[in-house]
Amino acid sequence: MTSSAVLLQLLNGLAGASSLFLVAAGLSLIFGVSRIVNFAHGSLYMLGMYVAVWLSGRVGFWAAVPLAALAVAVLGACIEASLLRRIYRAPELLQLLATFALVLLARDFALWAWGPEDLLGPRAPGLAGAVEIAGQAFPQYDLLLILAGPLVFAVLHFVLTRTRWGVLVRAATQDREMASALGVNQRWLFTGAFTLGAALAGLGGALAIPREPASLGIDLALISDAFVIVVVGGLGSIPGAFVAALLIGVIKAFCIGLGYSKLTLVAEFVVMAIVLILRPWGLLGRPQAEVRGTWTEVPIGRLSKRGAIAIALLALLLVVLPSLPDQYVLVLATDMLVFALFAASLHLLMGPGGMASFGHAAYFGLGAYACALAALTLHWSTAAALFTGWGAGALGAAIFGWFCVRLSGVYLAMLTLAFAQIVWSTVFQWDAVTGGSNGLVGIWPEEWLASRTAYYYVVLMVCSYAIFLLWRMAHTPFGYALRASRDSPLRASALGINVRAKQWESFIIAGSAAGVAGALFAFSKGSISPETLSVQRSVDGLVMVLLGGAHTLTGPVWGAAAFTWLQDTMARSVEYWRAGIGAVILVLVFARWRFSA
Amino acid sequence: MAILSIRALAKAYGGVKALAGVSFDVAAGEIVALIGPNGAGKTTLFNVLNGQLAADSGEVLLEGTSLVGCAPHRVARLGVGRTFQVAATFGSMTARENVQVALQAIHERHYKAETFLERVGVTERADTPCAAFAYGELKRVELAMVLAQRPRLLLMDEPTAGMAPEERGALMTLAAELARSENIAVLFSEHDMDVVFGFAQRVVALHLGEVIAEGSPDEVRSNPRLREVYLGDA
Ligand SMILES: Nc1ncnc2c1ncn2[C@@H]1O[C@H](COP(=O)(O)OP(=O)(O)O)[C@@H](O)[C@H]1O
Ligand SMILES: [Mg+2]
Repeated sequence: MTSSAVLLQLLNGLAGASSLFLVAAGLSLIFGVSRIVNFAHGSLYMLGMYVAVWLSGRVGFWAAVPLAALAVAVLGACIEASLLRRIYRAPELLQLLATFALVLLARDFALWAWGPEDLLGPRAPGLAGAVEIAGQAFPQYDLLLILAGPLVFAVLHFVLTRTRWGVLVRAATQDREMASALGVNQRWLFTGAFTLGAALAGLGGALAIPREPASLGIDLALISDAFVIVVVGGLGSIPGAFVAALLIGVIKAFCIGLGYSKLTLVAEFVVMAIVLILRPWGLLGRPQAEVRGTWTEVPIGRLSKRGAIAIALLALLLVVLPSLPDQYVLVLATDMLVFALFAASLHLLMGPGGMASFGHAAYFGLGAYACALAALTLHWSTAAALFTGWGAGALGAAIFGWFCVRLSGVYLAMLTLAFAQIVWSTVFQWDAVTGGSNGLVGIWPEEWLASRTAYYYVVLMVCSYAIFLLWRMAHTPFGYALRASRDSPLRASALGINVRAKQWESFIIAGSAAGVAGALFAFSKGSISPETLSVQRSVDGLVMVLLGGAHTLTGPVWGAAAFTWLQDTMARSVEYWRAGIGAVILVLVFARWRFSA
Repeated sequence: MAILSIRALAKAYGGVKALAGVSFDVAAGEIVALIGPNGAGKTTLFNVLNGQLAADSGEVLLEGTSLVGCAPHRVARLGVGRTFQVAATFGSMTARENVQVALQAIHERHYKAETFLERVGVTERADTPCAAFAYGELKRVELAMVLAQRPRLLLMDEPTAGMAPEERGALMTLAAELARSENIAVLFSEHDMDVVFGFAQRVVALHLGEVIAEGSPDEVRSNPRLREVYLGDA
């Protein structure tokens, strides 16, 4: 690479870093004050893009940018005042779920308002040309973007250090109790921080439209980038977000510039891994203070007599199910079983493990793809392919889990999501092996399992046995040690329990169970696509566990069955089913929180 | 031979020297009190001893083996038990399960949890989740957990803090008796001078991260430097 090409890639990277910084800074700001990780921050960015494209057609690009930021800010203020304000004291998992419901609502709103096609933005009038830098053409507009990041950083820095409001924000970020003791009007502070964060996201989106079209999928792509940046830079640190955005932005640009666009993800992963090993709290973050537990400590009950009878009856029903005339029931029941195992495996992490995984779909997807590839390209037997899925889930969880157990709370949740997104993007981009966005087709079990009924029985046997093992684990020494590590890590380690090792083992067990579920899923559908391991799937798992109750053993399984049925019915009969699910999640979150408060 | 040897241990938080070159020994089976005003560095010392905190310099030897760089679970497995200033138990488990976890952690199959719950007197509530316990009871459960592992050395950070005065003597009597019967060395920090002089065979006084007095309770009681900085009379 010549030095002028290096310079150009560097500039390209800096231009990309600006949008990333705007989003990550808003995320950090909101987290600092309210301790809520706003999953919907990418959605605010997406709405900023759509609104800006839509407005530029009416008032022109330059007026559209501030107006779009303003519109998103107002939306942010409304969201804070109407929803989030009610759940500031709720467990963080409920908060994350509530903001994810907003992702679904925003996505369907954009779909309804602007349709499924990507919307191309206008060129920026006056800056549509290119300048010559080191003998090469460089877009004028990108120079503006390069300036926008540091400019916003400077303004934010000024606001946070020189205004009374900013000083209060910083006080609240460092010590909430102290800030409230000082008589800070928290309401004003929280609404203000959320509004400013939303404005930054909206601005980032609006500024991006000359460079890339507004599209529906941008929300989750961006939020996982923002999570990576926040994890690397340090949660709650704006300078950290700035440095990390520059780092990631430049690395991305170089990977693309060198012609290895697929390497971007690996590079991002490596940077994150190195930072997490050396500084688990991020480049400029501080070591995390007291972490709130994900769930209040409630005993895990043993199976009651009534529960046992219900399960026995259910088992009987499941065994005779194939003799029913309606064959669709079998399809649905297969799905329910697969997701029951998926939810039970996630529950091991969330319940006894006390670790909220927001990327559990990664292991499900790894299992599904490994199984499919073993069957399709290696021509292995169905059993061998299923075992491959198991191994892939376990291996993925072993690698990702090794990093994740070094963190806790929301940090851990963000990291699991970032890992899942990396797997998703890899699968999405690696056309030659995974079939890219089309996925893989023609994954069928061997002859003797070809009938729906025969395969159903395999699924029934494998899933119920695996779920049984997971349930039993709660009352084994391993399960006790895991719960001990969750209840009081200090006490547990002072008793000789290697807390991280137990948590890592639980990751591997949960990942292998999810891998089995994914493998069974692949054969039951005959085809898989990147959707198999999307964030959506991870959140589905969380909703299943939440729906059934995370502090019971059997709850997640019932939750999975109910949710699978609900989604199946909705997706077949309602056009905007995502928004429907989002509404259901919101209702659930508020019902649970009311109920437990 | 000393079971625990602390050599020139230092630890600073930013500019604050929490430990500024602490050295002393604890003999096997000996009960030693660590006294000093709030902020003297007692909790910091315990955290360094059990591996929860890394010292900046200095050494900790357990029967001659260095504990420097050992993670808390390793230190525990070497036979060092500890209780916390704010009693820590597993809230989602019953008292019995709490002790069972302690037994399982060292792969102990011979002893039953009940034995230890009986010793600390919480048999009746053995099947109640710890989250529902009063603080005094929690302290007892914590003690039962630690004793169930039959450590060689027991570190107790303010074992009677937060308890009613009547309960204090009882808990310490219990701890001291159990320690003697199992020949466990005990290092405990304490503010209540009645407890200190009633139970300790030796006293180490800490002030601003330094040992300012060390000796038998009587020697320490009459040490002029200690009277000056700690007991408050000039
Ligand atoms: N996590 C910490 N960060 C900064 N300073 C600390 C921290 N923990 C303790 N200190 C300081 O170290 C000194 C010793 O504290 P500590 O060991 O808790 O004393 P003690 O237990 O004797 O009351 C005090 O000045 C205290 O403020
Ligand atoms: Mg203390």
